[in-house]
Amino acid sequence: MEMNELKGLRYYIAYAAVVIGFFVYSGVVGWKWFNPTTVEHQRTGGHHVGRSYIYHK
Amino acid sequence: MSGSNYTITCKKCKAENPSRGKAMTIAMACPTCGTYFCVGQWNKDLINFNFSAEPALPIGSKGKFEGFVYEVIGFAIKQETKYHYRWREYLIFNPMRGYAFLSEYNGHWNFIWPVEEGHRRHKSDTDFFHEGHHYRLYQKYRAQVVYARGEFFFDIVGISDSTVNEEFIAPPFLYAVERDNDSLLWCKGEYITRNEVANAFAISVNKLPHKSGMGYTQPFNAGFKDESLIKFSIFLVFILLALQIFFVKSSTEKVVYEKSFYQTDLGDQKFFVTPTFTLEGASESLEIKIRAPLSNDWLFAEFSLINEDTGNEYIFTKDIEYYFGREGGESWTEGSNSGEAFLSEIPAGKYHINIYPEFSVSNHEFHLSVVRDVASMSNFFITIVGLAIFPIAYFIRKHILEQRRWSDSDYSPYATE
Amino acid sequence: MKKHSTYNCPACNTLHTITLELASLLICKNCGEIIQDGNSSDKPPRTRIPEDWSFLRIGSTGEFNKQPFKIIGRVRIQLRNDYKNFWSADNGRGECLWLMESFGSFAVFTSPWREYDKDASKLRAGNAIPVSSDVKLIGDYVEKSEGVSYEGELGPWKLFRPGFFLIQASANGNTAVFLVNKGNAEYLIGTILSLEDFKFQNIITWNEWK
Repeated sequence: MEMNELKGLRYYIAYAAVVIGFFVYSGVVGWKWFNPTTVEHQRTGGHHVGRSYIYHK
Repeated sequence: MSGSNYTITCKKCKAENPSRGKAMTIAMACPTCGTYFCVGQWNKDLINFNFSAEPALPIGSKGKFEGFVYEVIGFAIKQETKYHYRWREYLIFNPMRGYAFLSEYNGHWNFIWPVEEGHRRHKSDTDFFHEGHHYRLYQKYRAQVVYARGEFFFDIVGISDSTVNEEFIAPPFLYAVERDNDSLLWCKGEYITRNEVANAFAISVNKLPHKSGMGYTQPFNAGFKDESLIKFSIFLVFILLALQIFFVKSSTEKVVYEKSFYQTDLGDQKFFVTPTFTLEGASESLEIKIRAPLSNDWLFAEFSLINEDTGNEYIFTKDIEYYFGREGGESWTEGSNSGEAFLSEIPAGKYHINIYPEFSVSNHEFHLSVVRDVASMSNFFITIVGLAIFPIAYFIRKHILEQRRWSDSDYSPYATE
Repeated sequence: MKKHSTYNCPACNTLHTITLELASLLICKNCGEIIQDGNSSDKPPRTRIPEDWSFLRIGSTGEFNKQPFKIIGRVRIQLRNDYKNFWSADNGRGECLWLMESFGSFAVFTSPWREYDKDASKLRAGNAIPVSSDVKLIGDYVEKSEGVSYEGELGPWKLFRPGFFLIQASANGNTAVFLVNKGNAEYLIGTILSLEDFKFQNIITWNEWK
């Protein structure tokens, strides 16, 4: 592909670079976009039983 | 100036008008009385137009194109005889390059020049290929001159009246042929922007008519060819596929904990607690797979993944259901005996899981697997869609603009019966 | 009129020497009088070359097929919707080549005049015009001549009076110019070229177009 064509495609190339970069980062850290599993993140302050224990006592 | 005193006498008012074209001028509109006449003796018609108009590029103004200075010699407004749309033509001249036209319609300009290379091999009456471009017939028409000013190197009024015109386009280029019994003149044209015309004549672009709609030779100026976009998009898909294969192949999918749980083991407890297990590596995914021997039944559980080092807790739920039956002689099933919960970006460390199950009447057990570093397919498909947005939007926009381009043509490939 | 022969202008006595092997006409560089061999019945009337914006002139030089030439004369034909300058050029060997020029388009004719022995009424725009067994051209235009004027020294030329038809036909870079007068058609066959092909020198550079 000629340089002129690549120049004309520069916005798409930049966009693709961002999207693929995002994809690679997600793959490395194990991040699933649009995850059907809803995960709540809490700090237990060191209690091993966890917050959810309270609702099931 | 050239120092020439060449004048042409108006056949109506007898004014002695200095002539820029000298002996090359065949016809002129008298600057004094406005009458259009032919200089020679073979045509004695005198034409007065019903209205007057000011050319955006004044007669005598000079503009530079491809290194050559052209002077505006004549200006004409032409009207098509069937649909009565009007456009403006400026006859421009350079002694070494000859004459050319600047044609303007709805603020869109074409630079048009006569060519010797007529008689292309016609693939059909409506299109042909030339120099790698596919030219399609845009319009066949007859036109009249409704106004003229300045000088002309031919009887522009007589020729317009007697000729049939065809225009073929391959934006930004066009080929026009003008024919009557005595002549067959081919011209080639190229779209030029208002800014280019303004720059050529060193005038403000605001002095030129404003653009409206899509010019019929206006290129869909993306800066790249369609083929390049398609090739590049395919290239990206391959890159993405390679990356996804890499992520799938390099994911360890290590089962860090696995056990079956029975309701009877719960006793008085509300929840199960798994033993501590270690997650290795850096931040990675974790998948909790649940399987139960369901038979028209369900299982629901709330999970709490607890990091024993930091105290972080990840709370999620998972329910699975499986139903089956027979209706109208055909079997059906709904749901599944197994399900997965996906957790993203779980850092390394020591963990255990608290499981709060809800057993149904008939199901009293389930099997749990905790798998570290599982690749996701959904990111790959979402990325494909994300990358496809650009070329899809490009082709949709191009299609809309092409329809708009051809909307004034009697030969539109988009016309529906 | 043969090469090296000399002629005195009958009007002003200016001496002229023929440079072409065979010239048909000489126009006095001093007074414009037409000089011809003997008492020719087809001697054209004396007419001044009208002013135009041609950048070529007598004395301009150029190249054709890598051979230099020098312009020594001109026939200017005024047509109803066009004009044609036929520049008579000496290729240095006394042979005449005709350089047709009009509005930035050029063609060179080195062939002698030939009689067109087919039906001249078929010489029309858009028609296929066979000029030889292997050359077929398409008619470009038919124009009636309204005036002819001459200057300098001319090679072999058809000295028709104004009123003849000029037809040009072209295809694939070949071109022919037909002069049809009272049913008789004669033609030259040549090649279409562009300005850059000639490397012209000693031309008029008009100040207004700098």
